[in-house]
Amino acid sequence: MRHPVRALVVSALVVGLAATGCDKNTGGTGTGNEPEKAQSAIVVDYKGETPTPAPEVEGATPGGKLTIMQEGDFEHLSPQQIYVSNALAYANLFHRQLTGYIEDGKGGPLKLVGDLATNAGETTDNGKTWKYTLREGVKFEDGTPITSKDVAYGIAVSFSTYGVQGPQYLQTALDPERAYKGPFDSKGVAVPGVTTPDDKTIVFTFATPHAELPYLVSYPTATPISEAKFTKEKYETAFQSTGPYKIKEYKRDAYLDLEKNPNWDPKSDPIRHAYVDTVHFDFTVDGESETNRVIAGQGDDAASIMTGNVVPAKIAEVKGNADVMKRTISAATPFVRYLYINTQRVTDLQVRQALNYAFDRDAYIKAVGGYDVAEPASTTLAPVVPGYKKFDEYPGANGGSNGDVEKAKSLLQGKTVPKLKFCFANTPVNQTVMAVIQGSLTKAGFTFSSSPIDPAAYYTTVGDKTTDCDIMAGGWAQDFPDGDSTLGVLFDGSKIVDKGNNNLGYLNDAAINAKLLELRGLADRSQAAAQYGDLDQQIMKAAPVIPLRYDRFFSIYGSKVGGTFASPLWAQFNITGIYVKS
Amino acid sequence: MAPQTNATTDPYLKVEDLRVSFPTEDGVVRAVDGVSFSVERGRTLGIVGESGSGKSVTSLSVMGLHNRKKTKVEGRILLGGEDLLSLSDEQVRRKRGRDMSMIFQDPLSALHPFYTVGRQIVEAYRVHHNVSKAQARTRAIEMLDRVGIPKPDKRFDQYPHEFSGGMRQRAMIAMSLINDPDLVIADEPTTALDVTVQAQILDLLEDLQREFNSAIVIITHDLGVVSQIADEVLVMYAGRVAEFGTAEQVLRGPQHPYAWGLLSSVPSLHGNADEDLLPIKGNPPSLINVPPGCAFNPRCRYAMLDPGPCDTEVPQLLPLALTDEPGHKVACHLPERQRKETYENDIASVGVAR
Amino acid sequence: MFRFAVRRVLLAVLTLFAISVVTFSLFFLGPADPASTMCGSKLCDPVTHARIEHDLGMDQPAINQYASYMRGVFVGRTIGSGDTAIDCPAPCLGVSFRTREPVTQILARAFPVTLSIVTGAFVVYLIVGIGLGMLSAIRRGTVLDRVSVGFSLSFASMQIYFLGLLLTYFLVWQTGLLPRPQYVSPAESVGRWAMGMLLPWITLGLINSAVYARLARAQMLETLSEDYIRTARAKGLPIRRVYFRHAFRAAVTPLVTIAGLDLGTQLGGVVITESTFTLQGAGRTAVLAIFQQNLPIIMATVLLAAIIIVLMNVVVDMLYAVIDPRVRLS
Repeated sequence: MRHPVRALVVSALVVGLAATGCDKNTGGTGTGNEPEKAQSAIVVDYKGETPTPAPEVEGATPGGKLTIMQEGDFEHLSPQQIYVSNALAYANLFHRQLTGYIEDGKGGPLKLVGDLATNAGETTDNGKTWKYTLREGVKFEDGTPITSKDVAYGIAVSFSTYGVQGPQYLQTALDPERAYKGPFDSKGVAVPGVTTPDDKTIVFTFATPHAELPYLVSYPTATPISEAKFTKEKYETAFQSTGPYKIKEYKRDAYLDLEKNPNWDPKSDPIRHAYVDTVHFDFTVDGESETNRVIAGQGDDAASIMTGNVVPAKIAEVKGNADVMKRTISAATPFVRYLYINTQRVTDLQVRQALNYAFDRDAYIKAVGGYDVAEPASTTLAPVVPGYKKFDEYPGANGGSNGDVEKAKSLLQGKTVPKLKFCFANTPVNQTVMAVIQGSLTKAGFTFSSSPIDPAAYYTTVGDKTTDCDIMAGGWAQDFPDGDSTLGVLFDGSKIVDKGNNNLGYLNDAAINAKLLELRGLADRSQAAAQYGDLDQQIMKAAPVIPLRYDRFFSIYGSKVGGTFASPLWAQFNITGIYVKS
Repeated sequence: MAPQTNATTDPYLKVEDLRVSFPTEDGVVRAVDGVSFSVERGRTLGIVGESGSGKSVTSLSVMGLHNRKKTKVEGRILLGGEDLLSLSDEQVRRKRGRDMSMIFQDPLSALHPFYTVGRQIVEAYRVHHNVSKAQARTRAIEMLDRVGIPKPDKRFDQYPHEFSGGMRQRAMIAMSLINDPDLVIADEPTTALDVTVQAQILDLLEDLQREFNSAIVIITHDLGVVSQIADEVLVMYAGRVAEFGTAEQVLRGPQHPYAWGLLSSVPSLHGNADEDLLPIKGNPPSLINVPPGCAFNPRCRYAMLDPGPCDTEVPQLLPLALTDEPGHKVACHLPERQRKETYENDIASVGVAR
Repeated sequence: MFRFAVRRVLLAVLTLFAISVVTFSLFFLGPADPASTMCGSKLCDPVTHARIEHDLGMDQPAINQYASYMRGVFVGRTIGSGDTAIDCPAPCLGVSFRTREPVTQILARAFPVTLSIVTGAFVVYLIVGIGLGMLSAIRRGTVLDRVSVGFSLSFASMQIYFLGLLLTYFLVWQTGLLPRPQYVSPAESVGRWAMGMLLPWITLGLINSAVYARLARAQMLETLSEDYIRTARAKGLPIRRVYFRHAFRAAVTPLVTIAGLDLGTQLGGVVITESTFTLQGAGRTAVLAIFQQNLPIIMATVLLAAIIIVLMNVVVDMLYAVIDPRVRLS
């Protein structure tokens, strides 16, 4: 999943203006944030026990118009191209997939359930073959019943030009060589590994076990497309809806109006409600104006949600307004930032541990905007990852969060650490933030040579196994709610290649690799989840990273909005049960 | 040109004790300080002086073109018997261009560069006459023809920059005279022109004066122009009148040391031009701090100082007593006899006076 | 006059050609790696990377890329091949790297926004700025003049984002006197278009007015001291006619050049104004494209801005010749 790209021209200026004397939040540790309710586990509904329609939301009233404010248009709404977090969150309004998530706003476990399919997937051979059966009564917006051939066609499209910007996990799993080029360039060729024995059934066959498939088909990669109705580029703005809403009017870069899709049957959907009559996306806002409008709540804005965080300049104003604070959502997100320590170059474990001890979390959090938008990290897994375990291998002195310089110094006793090459993407924010980090590490005796790298070339440079960077700044968000989507990507030494690595610590620890492989092989992901927390701790003992922070979602919604909460998956509002108070 | 002192009619323009001053950041500028003169119809008055002597301010005050808000004007300016200073802006405006008009020094900058010459003349006519554009055009072409512009109907539609210097001044004159004004003030009308053209323009002015019988005030620093065209001459210095008389009187027998200076500094057509010249030393005084007594005293070679009166008392403009030159007046403390002798011995042999 | 026009236009075409080559080289041959940014910040496997590059035509030699780009501008072209090809009719400025939407379409959406902001503000600052400047020159030294000079000094030194945010805060969020700025197509509703544009117009208009007031005042004062103004008064023209027919026209002429070039520059995109009021105009589109390394959009916005500026230069020159007869001959 990707963060949306934004042009933050004015916002940056606003921060500058506002920096003169409003931020009183100089308190030490994470004040104000309630203890994180860890997403203890995930329930994968392999058996299809989730009821349809979805149980009513308490207090929900039908009708009304919901406004969703987002800076800039969606890059893509053609299902197979969707990969940015906002689009993933809000595409739920009109795109359905084989599986989907039911998020629980009250601290209960996340559920992966059958969406168009009756269950999360059936496998009899530990994940090499998966079978999905479509529900009764699922239709496109024009009333045509959705068949398994439409799902297969959607997956075929994901291999083509019209899927190149979406996630590639399913495609790579089905066709590791990527020989198949989609239904246009590989005309007449069947999608490898996908068969549709009848209109209701779709079967996936892999060469190796893929226990994660139920997650992969929750992406719009697996949104059905009717071959006759696919209009290529035009599908971006004129797609056939399969969800509760369909396009009424779409003016690119301006707004998207949705109305109810009469051919969506709530009885076929265990996830979504359609309480509001219409949804209006307003793309002509920025962080500043979103915040202003939701606070002011004039007219339709009273029933609005914002998709961005409250801008830093406005946080003090929001916190000072009791009425607005009631409408605030502050929650953890899947985004975690790290400093990777290149274990190929910094081979001494004690040096890596000393780096972890020396890091001043408090100074860092203040530098990136304060405790409302970030929280000090001590794990590699984000708190929203199923199986997340809270631990701290490198606590600060006296339980504080300013690091433990003495401990770091004692670890370094008798060692000479060469000057470390510190690499980061050259952005204005990084230039200041990285200086703060270096400042805190220097106290323990480390020395650095800064190497800012052009953002466009950054991951290519540091992803090269032969990189001479010792420290590399980076971030990660899981692509699906499973420990393997973080640990299996970032710390699996068996996956290290010459170029294009995500394992930027280049950690290659036999025990960890073996454990990752073992957990990956578990067909029941609900069971696997519980073990990733311990593995995380094992990884942190090897110190291939300095965890920097967990990003936080800090946002407000209009006074007439009900039934929403922070989506742990997308760092957005959950809109499956949202309603407008009458 | 014989002096004509027995005026049969009342003078058309009569300026009495004109005082013009305006405040600046450095102090009050007394640009004109008690000037009186008069001009009859058909007669020409030349006002002579260096720049800053107040001659242009005098003419602008007569025309009402001074900055009314800032400038303080006292005295009387009688035009055809009516005191212009007692009239409203609007009343003066109606007279401007119709009863009195003005010709400026540089016709290129005095004409609007963006409008055709014809259009500007027509505008001058129509503002005072309720006629159609076609009628005004006919009249303007007639006027252009009269001032000696060839192919006036073609020239009518041309822009000022398409005219030569002399032609432009002719057009300017046409514009000034189109309403048949009784008073024409010409402010250095030939200064910007070639010498050959100068003479033509002056001839033209004389011709037109005969034809229209208007009173002309010609402002110049050029004594040659004065000798050619003026009937009477007013010599100004530092906002005051230094000498007044007929052209003959002032040019042939000047009484004021300043007038001598002016004459001596004009090259004569005889002899060695370099040796002959006797320029006036120093610069004209600032009109904010006019020297006490006779304003000319710091530059005057004959000044009677310590004890005065030249640096203590302002000399009165008085008629000559010893010489029978009616109308000839001078403002100088020197005894008349001494002036006369000095002139004859020192000055008459130098420059144009020769 | 005709030859003058032809010469200017030819020069303009040549300039544009040079600009197109330079921008193209800068952007397309530069170190940017759009294919990687399109993969996001995650693993971009070499196969996908190569496919994206092929899709974008970036595996072609530079000269071919330029040739097909220019061909697209004049006669249109087909981008890609086979069933996934995109038909891009002239004037084709390529397709967005990200959405594969023709850039012409994207600009057709963004440009009217900029056009609305700029022309509205232009009218405001021409009328307010020049009016105020002229008036203050005519009434030099009066209270009005002093107020106007004070206005110029304070607004000219003000920043758009500061004034814009200030006005938005008070007029929209605090008092609700004005609707929040937004772009509604005038074809849809002229009233809502104008209301939505009001704040940008006021902001950009006022700040520019200050500059123009100062310029106009200086020009008018200079003109009022010209000999031909004295001539006009000496003719007995009513003072209004002197000011409006004689002084105004001459004083406003130099402003035509400045205003024309300002208009050209602004039409190319008023990034700060657009960003302050979150209006998706050409400038903001360009900035976003730079963030996303969306080269075809960057290229198109730069070219568009260049075309407008060069065109405005020609227009200003022609206008000058119309206004000032002295220019026509030379």
